[in-house]
Amino acid sequence: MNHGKMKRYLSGFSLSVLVLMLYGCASANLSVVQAMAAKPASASLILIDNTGSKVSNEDIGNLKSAFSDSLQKAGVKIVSTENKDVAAIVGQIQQYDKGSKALRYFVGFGAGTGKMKTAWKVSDQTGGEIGSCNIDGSISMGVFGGDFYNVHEKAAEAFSQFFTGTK
Amino acid sequence: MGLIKLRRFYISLRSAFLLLALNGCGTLFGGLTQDIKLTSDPPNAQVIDTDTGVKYNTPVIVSLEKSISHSLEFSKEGYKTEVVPLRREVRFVWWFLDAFSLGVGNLIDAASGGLFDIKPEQVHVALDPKSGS
Repeated sequence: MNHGKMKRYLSGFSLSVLVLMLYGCASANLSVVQAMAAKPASASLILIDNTGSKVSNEDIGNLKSAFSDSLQKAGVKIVSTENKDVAAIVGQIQQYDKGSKALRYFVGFGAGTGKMKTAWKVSDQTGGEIGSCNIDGSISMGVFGGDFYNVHEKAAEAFSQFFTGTK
Repeated sequence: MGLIKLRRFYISLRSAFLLLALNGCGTLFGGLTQDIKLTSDPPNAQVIDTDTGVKYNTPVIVSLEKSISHSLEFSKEGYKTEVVPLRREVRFVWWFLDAFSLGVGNLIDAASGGLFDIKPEQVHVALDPKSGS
Protein backbone atom coordinates (compact mmCIF):
# COMPACT_ATOMS: atom_id res chain seq x y z
CA MET A 1 0.00 0.00 0.00
CA ASN A 2 1.53 3.34 -0.98
CA HIS A 3 1.65 6.42 1.22
CA GLY A 4 -1.35 8.17 -0.39
CA LYS A 5 -3.58 5.10 -0.13
CA MET A 6 -2.52 4.53 3.47
CA LYS A 7 -3.35 8.15 4.34
CA ARG A 8 -6.79 7.87 2.72
CA TYR A 9 -7.41 4.55 4.50
CA LEU A 10 -6.50 6.06 7.88
CA SER A 11 -8.65 9.16 7.28
CA GLY A 12 -11.59 6.96 6.30
CA PHE A 13 -11.06 4.74 9.32
CA SER A 14 -10.89 7.72 11.71
CA LEU A 15 -14.03 9.20 10.19
CA SER A 16 -15.85 5.87 10.51
CA VAL A 17 -14.83 5.59 14.18
CA LEU A 18 -16.03 9.15 14.79
CA VAL A 19 -19.37 8.50 13.05
CA LEU A 20 -19.80 5.26 15.00
CA MET A 21 -19.02 7.06 18.25
CA LEU A 22 -21.49 9.82 17.58
CA TYR A 23 -24.19 7.62 16.09
CA GLY A 24 -26.63 6.33 18.64
CA CYS A 25 -25.25 8.26 21.62
CA ALA A 26 -27.83 9.31 24.20
CA SER A 27 -30.67 11.34 22.73
CA ALA A 28 -34.04 12.71 23.77
CA ASN A 29 -36.98 13.68 21.56
CA LEU A 30 -39.35 16.33 22.76
CA SER A 31 -42.92 16.42 21.47
CA VAL A 32 -44.88 19.41 22.65
CA VAL A 33 -48.53 18.70 23.48
CA GLN A 34 -49.34 22.18 24.76
CA ALA A 35 -46.75 24.94 24.49
CA MET A 36 -45.98 26.85 27.68
CA ALA A 37 -48.48 29.68 28.16
CA ALA A 38 -46.22 31.39 30.72
CA LYS A 39 -42.60 31.36 31.85
CA PRO A 40 -42.60 30.73 35.60
CA ALA A 41 -39.50 31.88 37.47
CA SER A 42 -39.74 29.09 40.03
CA ALA A 43 -41.37 25.69 40.23
CA SER A 44 -41.67 22.53 42.27
CA LEU A 45 -40.90 19.16 40.72
CA ILE A 46 -42.70 15.86 41.27
CA LEU A 47 -41.75 12.62 39.56
CA ILE A 48 -44.16 9.68 39.45
CA ASP A 49 -43.13 6.14 38.52
CA ASN A 50 -45.89 4.68 36.36
CA THR A 51 -43.89 1.65 35.27
CA GLY A 52 -44.91 -0.55 38.19
CA SER A 53 -41.86 0.18 40.37
CA LYS A 54 -39.33 -0.59 37.64
CA VAL A 55 -37.40 2.56 38.47
CA SER A 56 -35.14 2.48 41.52
CA ASN A 57 -35.04 5.33 44.05
CA GLU A 58 -31.48 6.09 42.90
CA ASP A 59 -32.60 6.39 39.27
CA ILE A 60 -35.53 8.64 40.26
CA GLY A 61 -33.11 10.71 42.37
CA ASN A 62 -30.71 11.08 39.46
CA LEU A 63 -33.49 11.98 37.01
CA LYS A 64 -34.93 14.60 39.38
CA SER A 65 -31.46 15.99 39.99
CA ALA A 66 -30.79 16.20 36.23
CA PHE A 67 -34.05 18.13 35.70
CA SER A 68 -33.41 20.43 38.67
CA ASP A 69 -29.86 21.11 37.50
CA SER A 70 -30.90 21.84 33.91
CA LEU A 71 -33.79 24.12 34.95
CA GLN A 72 -31.64 25.97 37.49
CA LYS A 73 -29.01 26.55 34.79
CA ALA A 74 -31.82 28.01 32.63
CA GLY A 75 -32.68 30.43 35.45
CA VAL A 76 -35.66 28.56 36.94
CA LYS A 77 -35.55 28.14 40.71
CA ILE A 78 -36.56 24.63 41.80
CA VAL A 79 -38.20 24.61 45.21
CA SER A 80 -39.81 22.11 47.57
CA THR A 81 -43.39 20.96 46.91
CA GLU A 82 -44.41 22.63 50.18
CA ASN A 83 -44.36 25.94 48.28
CA LYS A 84 -47.85 26.28 46.83
CA ASP A 85 -47.34 29.72 45.29
CA VAL A 86 -45.14 28.45 42.47
CA ALA A 87 -45.72 26.47 39.27
CA ALA A 88 -45.79 22.69 39.63
CA ILE A 89 -44.02 20.34 37.25
CA VAL A 90 -45.34 16.79 37.35
CA GLY A 91 -43.49 14.14 35.39
CA GLN A 92 -44.67 10.59 34.81
CA ILE A 93 -42.24 7.85 33.85
CA GLN A 94 -44.19 5.59 31.51
CA GLN A 95 -41.43 3.32 30.28
CA TYR A 96 -37.97 2.79 31.73
CA ASP A 97 -35.49 0.26 30.44
CA LYS A 98 -31.81 0.97 31.04
CA GLY A 99 -30.80 -1.68 28.50
CA SER A 100 -27.41 -3.36 28.75
CA LYS A 101 -24.17 -1.41 28.79
CA ALA A 102 -22.19 -4.59 28.03
CA LEU A 103 -24.30 -5.43 24.97
CA ARG A 104 -24.05 -1.84 23.72
CA TYR A 105 -20.26 -2.00 24.07
CA PHE A 106 -19.46 -5.49 22.84
CA VAL A 107 -22.24 -6.10 20.31
CA GLY A 108 -23.57 -2.69 19.27
CA PHE A 109 -25.87 -2.32 16.25
CA GLY A 110 -28.85 -1.62 18.53
CA ALA A 111 -28.26 -4.48 20.98
CA GLY A 112 -28.68 -3.41 24.60
CA THR A 113 -30.47 -0.19 23.69
CA GLY A 114 -31.91 1.65 26.70
CA LYS A 115 -35.23 3.53 26.42
CA MET A 116 -37.26 5.90 28.53
CA LYS A 117 -40.70 7.43 27.93
CA THR A 118 -41.95 10.30 30.04
CA ALA A 119 -44.92 12.69 30.05
CA TRP A 120 -44.78 16.13 31.66
CA LYS A 121 -47.43 18.60 32.78
CA VAL A 122 -46.91 22.07 34.15
CA SER A 123 -49.59 23.84 36.14
CA ASP A 124 -49.67 27.32 37.64
CA GLN A 125 -50.39 28.35 41.24
CA THR A 126 -54.14 27.94 40.69
CA GLY A 127 -53.70 24.37 39.39
CA GLY A 128 -54.53 25.27 35.79
CA GLU A 129 -52.44 23.51 33.17
CA ILE A 130 -50.08 25.88 31.37
CA GLY A 131 -48.08 23.37 29.33
CA SER A 132 -47.47 19.70 28.62
CA CYS A 133 -45.08 17.60 26.61
CA ASN A 134 -43.73 14.09 26.10
CA ILE A 135 -40.05 13.26 26.14
CA ASP A 136 -38.69 9.96 24.84
CA GLY A 137 -35.02 9.18 25.38
CA SER A 138 -32.75 6.39 24.28
CA ILE A 139 -29.15 5.28 24.17
CA SER A 140 -27.80 2.67 21.78
CA MET A 141 -24.08 3.40 21.84
CA GLY A 142 -21.40 5.46 23.51
CA VAL A 143 -17.91 5.34 24.99
CA PHE A 144 -17.68 1.90 26.69
CA GLY A 145 -21.38 1.33 25.96
CA GLY A 146 -22.49 4.70 27.29
CA ASP A 147 -24.22 5.52 30.56
CA PHE A 148 -28.03 5.56 30.70
CA TYR A 149 -27.84 8.61 32.96
CA ASN A 150 -26.80 10.50 29.80
CA VAL A 151 -30.41 9.99 28.65
CA HIS A 152 -31.58 11.68 31.87
CA GLU A 153 -29.39 14.68 31.06
CA LYS A 154 -30.59 14.89 27.46
CA ALA A 155 -34.23 14.62 28.57
CA ALA A 156 -33.62 17.32 31.17
CA GLU A 157 -32.08 19.63 28.55
CA ALA A 158 -35.07 19.05 26.24
CA PHE A 159 -37.53 19.82 29.04
CA SER A 160 -35.61 22.90 30.04
CA GLN A 161 -35.90 24.21 26.47
CA PHE A 162 -39.62 23.46 26.50
CA PHE A 163 -40.14 25.11 29.90
CA THR A 164 -38.25 28.27 29.01
CA GLY A 165 -39.89 28.47 25.60
CA THR A 166 -36.66 28.14 23.63
CA LYS A 167 -38.08 25.11 21.80
CA MET B 1 27.89 7.52 15.06
CA GLY B 2 26.52 8.43 11.66
CA LEU B 3 24.10 11.25 11.13
CA ILE B 4 21.23 8.86 10.27
CA LYS B 5 21.85 6.76 13.39
CA LEU B 6 21.93 9.90 15.51
CA ARG B 7 18.65 11.04 13.97
CA ARG B 8 17.02 7.66 14.63
CA PHE B 9 18.28 7.74 18.23
CA TYR B 10 16.84 11.25 18.66
CA ILE B 11 13.46 10.17 17.23
CA SER B 12 13.38 7.09 19.50
CA LEU B 13 14.27 9.22 22.52
CA ARG B 14 11.55 11.72 21.64
CA SER B 15 8.98 8.92 21.17
CA ALA B 16 9.95 7.34 24.50
CA PHE B 17 9.63 10.71 26.23
CA LEU B 18 6.22 11.25 24.60
CA LEU B 19 5.01 7.82 25.76
CA LEU B 20 6.21 8.55 29.29
CA ALA B 21 4.56 11.95 29.21
CA LEU B 22 1.27 10.39 28.11
CA ASN B 23 1.36 7.88 30.97
CA GLY B 24 -1.41 8.90 33.30
CA CYS B 25 -1.94 12.30 31.72
CA GLY B 26 -5.47 12.33 33.12
CA THR B 27 -4.01 12.05 36.62
CA LEU B 28 -1.54 14.85 35.95
CA PHE B 29 -3.86 17.27 34.21
CA GLY B 30 -7.35 16.14 35.22
CA GLY B 31 -6.64 15.97 38.96
CA LEU B 32 -7.62 13.39 41.56
CA THR B 33 -10.55 15.29 43.05
CA GLN B 34 -13.41 17.36 41.70
CA ASP B 35 -15.44 20.14 43.27
CA ILE B 36 -19.19 19.47 43.36
CA LYS B 37 -21.72 22.10 44.46
CA LEU B 38 -24.53 20.79 46.69
CA THR B 39 -27.65 22.86 47.32
CA SER B 40 -31.13 22.10 48.57
CA ASP B 41 -34.52 23.65 49.17
CA PRO B 42 -35.01 24.12 52.06
CA PRO B 43 -31.35 24.81 52.81
CA ASN B 44 -29.36 23.36 55.72
CA ALA B 45 -30.15 19.76 54.80
CA GLN B 46 -27.73 17.06 55.86
CA VAL B 47 -25.92 15.27 53.08
CA ILE B 48 -24.18 11.95 53.65
CA ASP B 49 -21.84 10.50 51.09
CA THR B 50 -22.95 6.88 51.54
CA ASP B 51 -19.73 5.57 50.00
CA THR B 52 -17.35 7.42 52.32
CA GLY B 53 -19.62 8.25 55.27
CA VAL B 54 -18.63 11.92 55.17
CA LYS B 55 -21.38 14.38 56.19
CA TYR B 56 -22.03 17.90 54.90
CA ASN B 57 -24.66 20.60 55.28
CA THR B 58 -26.11 22.41 52.28
CA PRO B 59 -25.23 24.73 50.66
CA VAL B 60 -21.66 23.54 50.27
CA ILE B 61 -18.97 22.90 47.70
CA VAL B 62 -17.31 19.55 48.34
CA SER B 63 -14.15 18.08 46.91
CA LEU B 64 -14.82 14.46 45.96
CA GLU B 65 -12.28 11.80 45.08
CA LYS B 66 -12.64 10.66 41.49
CA SER B 67 -11.22 7.18 42.16
CA ILE B 68 -14.40 5.97 43.91
CA SER B 69 -18.11 6.22 43.20
CA HIS B 70 -20.30 8.51 45.28
CA SER B 71 -23.95 8.46 46.23
CA LEU B 72 -25.39 11.39 48.16
CA GLU B 73 -28.26 11.08 50.62
CA PHE B 74 -30.08 14.36 51.36
CA SER B 75 -32.14 14.42 54.53
CA LYS B 76 -33.84 16.95 56.80
CA GLU B 77 -36.27 16.46 59.65
CA GLY B 78 -39.86 16.55 58.40
CA TYR B 79 -38.83 15.87 54.78
CA LYS B 80 -38.47 12.75 52.67
CA THR B 81 -34.91 11.52 52.15
CA GLU B 82 -33.59 11.79 48.60
CA VAL B 83 -30.72 9.77 47.19
CA VAL B 84 -28.74 11.11 44.25
CA PRO B 85 -26.11 8.80 42.78
CA LEU B 86 -23.25 10.59 41.07
CA ARG B 87 -21.67 8.93 38.09
CA ARG B 88 -18.11 8.75 36.89
CA GLU B 89 -17.83 9.43 33.18
CA VAL B 90 -14.74 8.36 31.26
CA ARG B 91 -13.08 11.35 29.63
CA PHE B 92 -12.48 10.09 26.13
CA VAL B 93 -9.54 12.45 25.52
CA TRP B 94 -7.54 10.99 28.44
CA TRP B 95 -8.48 7.44 27.51
CA PHE B 96 -7.41 8.09 23.90
CA LEU B 97 -4.09 9.71 24.85
CA ASP B 98 -3.40 7.00 27.44
CA ALA B 99 -3.82 4.36 24.74
CA PHE B 100 -0.51 5.56 23.22
CA SER B 101 1.26 4.25 26.33
CA LEU B 102 0.02 0.75 25.39
CA GLY B 103 -2.53 0.68 28.18
CA VAL B 104 -0.21 1.56 31.07
CA GLY B 105 -1.53 5.10 31.27
CA ASN B 106 -5.12 3.83 31.09
CA LEU B 107 -4.48 1.63 34.13
CA ILE B 108 -2.79 4.45 36.06
CA ASP B 109 -5.57 6.93 35.28
CA ALA B 110 -8.34 4.40 36.01
CA ALA B 111 -6.81 3.53 39.40
CA SER B 112 -6.16 7.14 40.40
CA GLY B 113 -9.50 8.37 39.08
CA GLY B 114 -7.85 10.83 36.71
CA LEU B 115 -9.59 9.12 33.80
CA PHE B 116 -13.01 10.16 35.08
CA ASP B 117 -15.19 13.21 35.53
CA ILE B 118 -17.84 13.18 38.24
CA LYS B 119 -21.29 14.14 36.93
CA PRO B 120 -23.33 16.16 37.63
CA GLU B 121 -21.02 18.93 38.82
CA GLN B 122 -23.87 20.59 40.65
CA VAL B 123 -26.60 18.82 42.63
CA HIS B 124 -29.74 20.67 43.69
CA VAL B 125 -32.38 18.74 45.61
CA ALA B 126 -35.84 20.08 46.45
CA LEU B 127 -36.94 18.06 49.45
CA ASP B 128 -40.60 17.13 49.70
CA PRO B 129 -42.36 17.31 53.07
CA LYS B 130 -43.31 13.97 54.64
CA SER B 131 -46.86 15.11 55.21
CA GLY B 132 -47.29 15.71 51.50
CA SER B 133 -46.83 12.03 50.63
